[in-house]
Amino acid sequence: MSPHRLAMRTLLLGGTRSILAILLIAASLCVLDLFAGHISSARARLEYQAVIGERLGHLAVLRESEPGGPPGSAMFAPAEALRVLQVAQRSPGVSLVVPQMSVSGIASTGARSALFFGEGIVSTPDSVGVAQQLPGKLNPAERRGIAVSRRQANSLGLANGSSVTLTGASLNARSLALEAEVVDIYPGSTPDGTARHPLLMPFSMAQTLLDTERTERIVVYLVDATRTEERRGLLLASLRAAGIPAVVKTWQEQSAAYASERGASDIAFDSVAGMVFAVIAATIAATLAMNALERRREVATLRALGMRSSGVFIMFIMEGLGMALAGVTLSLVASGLIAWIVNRAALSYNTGPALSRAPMLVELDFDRMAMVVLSVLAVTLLAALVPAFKAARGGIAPALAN
Amino acid sequence: MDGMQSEVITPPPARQLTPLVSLARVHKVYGGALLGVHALHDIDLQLVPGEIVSVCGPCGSGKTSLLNIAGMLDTATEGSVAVASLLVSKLSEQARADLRGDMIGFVFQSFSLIPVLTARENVLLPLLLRARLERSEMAAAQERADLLLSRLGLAAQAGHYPQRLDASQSQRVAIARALITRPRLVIADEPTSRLEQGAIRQVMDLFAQQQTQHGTAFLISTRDQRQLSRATRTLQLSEGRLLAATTVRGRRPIGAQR
Repeated sequence: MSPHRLAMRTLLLGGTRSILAILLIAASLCVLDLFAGHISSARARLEYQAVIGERLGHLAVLRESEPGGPPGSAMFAPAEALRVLQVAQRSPGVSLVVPQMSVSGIASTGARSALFFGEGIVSTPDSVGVAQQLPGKLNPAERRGIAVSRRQANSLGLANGSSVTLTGASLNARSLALEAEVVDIYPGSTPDGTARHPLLMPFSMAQTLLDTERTERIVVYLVDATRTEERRGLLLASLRAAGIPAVVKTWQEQSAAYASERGASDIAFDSVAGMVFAVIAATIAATLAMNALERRREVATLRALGMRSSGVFIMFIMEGLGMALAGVTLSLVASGLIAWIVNRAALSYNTGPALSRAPMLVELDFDRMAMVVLSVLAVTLLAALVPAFKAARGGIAPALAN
Repeated sequence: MDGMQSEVITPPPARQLTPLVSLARVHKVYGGALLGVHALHDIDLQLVPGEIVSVCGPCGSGKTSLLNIAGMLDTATEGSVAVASLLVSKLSEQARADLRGDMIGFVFQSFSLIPVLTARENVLLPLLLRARLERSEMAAAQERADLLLSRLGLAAQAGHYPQRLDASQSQRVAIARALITRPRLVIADEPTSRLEQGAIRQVMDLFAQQQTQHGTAFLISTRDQRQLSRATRTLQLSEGRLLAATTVRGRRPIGAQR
């Protein structure tokens, strides 16, 4: 009988301690899996908010420029912008390519004023893939028409048809003002108050406010968001081949909210994971140490009957790994079940100072779960080493007399 | 001694046979030389194939220490121990484990059955620890395990776990386990202490059969007169000293009869 089979038999028929250890490991991992799932869900919402809600797209092509260059040097000249559009549209896996301009300033109704962060966009027909999901619709026939988020509309007291004066600073630092008319009020793509919901205006209006004919960036929406990095490389290569001085940024690099959440959630996850791994290591080490102590006679018998010390060592290591694997398996089943229940229960939680509510969703993050499983097995192996070594090294005769 | 004629002799029995176990001037001290307990004093012993050697003496006389050292479960503080002509002190832990598995069957005083294995699996354990068995070998081994259990009156308990066995049944399983490999030497520490009259006879018959058919040697610690009567030699221990070696006239090691 191999040490592995003996170890598995001991686990299967083992005492309460092993079962408790397995349950503790399973519960700890379940917490970690669900936390990872919630982070994944929150990131998916942030991705949607950044790519669609803030219209950052999956990729943005910006002009490569020296810092401190003349105004407008970080923008594409009209001919360059046209070439970038053409190159990007020919790039594989692209769903939509649109030029965009960021512009900020003060919006004033006469009665109320507020800062605005605007985006000059080109109206796209809803039939074009991702365009259906983009918030805020401009009227191509209305050159002064703008779309504002409900939040902004409320703060300025705007309604459809309301007039508003937009004042911005041009690239040459001149103050320019334009009259605009609200043609659409759109809901924010996320309910929390931290999301950035831009004021949308025709692309030409943004150019006018900035007093330039240049284009700040070309935004690219991809068919498959999971291949963003790969597509970035291809697009950049194509742009370089076309002799266009450009840099390509992903939405993750552009979204401040995502970068902030990612950093915070990574720290939180690493902290929880560290605690969970410490609990698992202590559980495995304590359980095996107690098992080794209680089973001194059994181990001595096995050695007396011809099992080598290495066999005893392997047996205890396998017991530890068996416990961890049983815990992992149980945790996967429990995590799946709990995630399903949580998602079905449509729970929500408060977010930020605005106390708006976000859905509590769990999208199991299988990549992270796989990493957790591998880490648990590694931690288990390390935790089992000392008890296994001690179990394999004791004297046979004293243990038999025990 | 149970109606047998006996005489006290000093030389080892059957000088023509190569000893399975040879102890020369063995001392065993537990707990350090100065304040330690001297369990064995200057023991000389040779055990040849086919012998049944009983070791008797009161509690604390050193019987278990002697058996442990002869079975390579413990080391001598002084003196030399050879098993199958190999000097034990020169053997690695691994080599000792292999040698134990290959040639010695043990019956421990407290039975020491593995709780997660059935009675049949406990009996098969020494075989399974030695090597991975082919299907046909496994079938033959199981047949032999069942036969041994049956000979010891445990056919119905073959599938029981040790928790469901009483002391007598556990002891018989431990005896079957010691014999499953047809070892050249069986070291048994009070192997019939929990058995009733009929079971003792079954066990002693089985030992005798092993001795006759396979030339198995037995080193048995016992206080049971019925076992002493079956022995070819009896060693009397007191306070760790070998007081007397008694050979029963008419009983000789199997190999020595040729």
